[in-house]
This record gives sequence, structure tokens and C-alpha cells, in this order.
Amino acid sequence: MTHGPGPEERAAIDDLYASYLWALDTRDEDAYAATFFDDAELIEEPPGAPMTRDRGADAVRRFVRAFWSRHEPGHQHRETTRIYLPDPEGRSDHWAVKAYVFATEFDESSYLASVYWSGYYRDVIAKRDGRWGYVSRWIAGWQGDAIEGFTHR
Amino acid sequence: MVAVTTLDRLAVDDLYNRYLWALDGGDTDGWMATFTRDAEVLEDQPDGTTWRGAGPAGLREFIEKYHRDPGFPGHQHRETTRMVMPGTDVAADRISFRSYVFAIASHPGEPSRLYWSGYYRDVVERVQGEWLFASRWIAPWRGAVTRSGLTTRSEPEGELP
Repeated sequence: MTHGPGPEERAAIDDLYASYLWALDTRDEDAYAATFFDDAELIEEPPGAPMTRDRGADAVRRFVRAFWSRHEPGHQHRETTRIYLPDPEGRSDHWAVKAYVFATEFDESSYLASVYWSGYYRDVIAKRDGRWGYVSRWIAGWQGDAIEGFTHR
Repeated sequence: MVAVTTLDRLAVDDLYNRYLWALDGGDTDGWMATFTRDAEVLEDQPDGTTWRGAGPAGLREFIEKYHRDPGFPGHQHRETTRMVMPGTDVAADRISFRSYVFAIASHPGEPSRLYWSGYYRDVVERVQGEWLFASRWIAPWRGAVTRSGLTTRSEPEGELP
């Protein structure tokens, strides 16, 4: 018994997540923006910097341009360990999702890849007009809220 | 062998992912909830011995070893390459799996790094409609498994208890 989306929905959601990562890592701004709905919210907790929060199609494009300006090409992000949770607002065509993500970087001179970053996504996704997209995406390193279960020890 | 259905595979995906989030997030009770009540956990140790614990007390002893370790927060474990193995009996609500697992360690002020690479040998059982771990054997990627032809045999290093 699964409590998450059914097989066909999961396949379509897999495509959404893969499209996002390919667009991010190949610097395809239009494809990246197309994974979000126009009213989507994007929140980031960058390492060593304050959290940013913005909304809308222009904000999504500003976010990814700024990300690319801070990083050399060569990163690959991989998403794993996805958990589907009911939408906090109870909408039947929405899912809350949390997933691990890590990035590798490839050094062309040494031909060696290494882990660059490890974090997680907290997303709300929806299907609108037959298309799955991000309603919100929260990007954070593996710190803070993610490991708050340890704080009481 | 009865095939594992797509819906069962999705439910097992959810089980594995809940396990990893609970492990890495310090959610001891959430981790415990991924096992059957009489489940067993085995873990191969660096000195070559195998730690073994069973039932709620054994499981809790195992997970608290990690959840009380101040160096553990910051690890993320990722499971991939899962295979259904001989010994599976879907009609009896019992599936054997093998899969790869690796960990990335991220600590403030330090670069993230690959930390560990190994594999799981699991038996999952359906209890009241819910797939749960009945047995999990955690081992590093070394020794006999690296040359045992695991894909064609059910147990290269002895039967699971």
C-alpha cells in the first residue's frame, strides 16, 4: 500500500524533477523556469548567507541567473530519497515533497569528480492543466531544520 | 516467483526513503517505525565481526548508537541499485532486496565529502497492509560481496537469520 501518488503520477513527477536538474546543470533558463508555475515561490538557504525568498516567474529567473553567476559550470545535482506527504492545505491535486539532493563537481584538468554540496528540497508540487510543476521549492543545506531531531540530545 | 507489483515497489520505495530521512534526521521513533516488531538488524563492523540486535530493545540500541553520536548529524545516506532477490515470496508478503548505499558527510565549515559506501541485505514484510523491514543487514562494500556474484545467488555469506 502506498500513501503517495500512483504510478503514472509518479512517473510524470520523476520527469519534472529530472527536467529541473538538467535545466539547472545545463544552464537552460527557459527550461528551468518552465518547471515552476508563474506564481511559484522559491526559497533558498545558501551556505553562509541569509535565506532568500521570492515569488513569481521573474523571481525564478533571477534566482537561477544569480546561482549560475556564483558557480562555475561543471556541477551535477542529483535528487534522491523522495518522500510524498499530503498537501498542507489539503488540496487533492497537490503534494508536499521532501527529497535529498547533492551536487558533484567535475574537474576537467584532473578528470576527477567530487562531492560539492549536500542538502534537501522541500517542495509543493501540483498538476495544473495537465502539467506537473513546482508551486514552491525550498532549497537548503543538510543543516538546521533538517537535523533538528538531534538537537535535544 | 510471483512478480512484485508496481504498487508494492512504490510502497517499498516510500519505506526506504522514510528510513533514510529518519536515520539522517535524528528521528529515532520514526526510524523504529520502519521495522516490524520482531525485526532484526545486523551490521558488519570494521573489525570483521557482525553486530546483531533484534526486537524493539535491539533496534533502539542500534539506532541510538548513531543518534547519540555528536559526529553523526550532517550525514546523508542514499540508497540505490535495489534488486529483488531469490527468496522473495510475494504471496507470503515477504520480499528480499539487495541495494547499494553510500553516505555524504556535511559539517559546517568543511566541504561535503563521500563518507562511506556499502550495501543492504533486507527482508521486508507486509504487516497489516504496510511494508516494513523484517531484517536489515548493513555492510561496507568490501570482502566476499565484491567477488561473490551476488546477483545470481541469494546469500553469498550465509543465510539470513
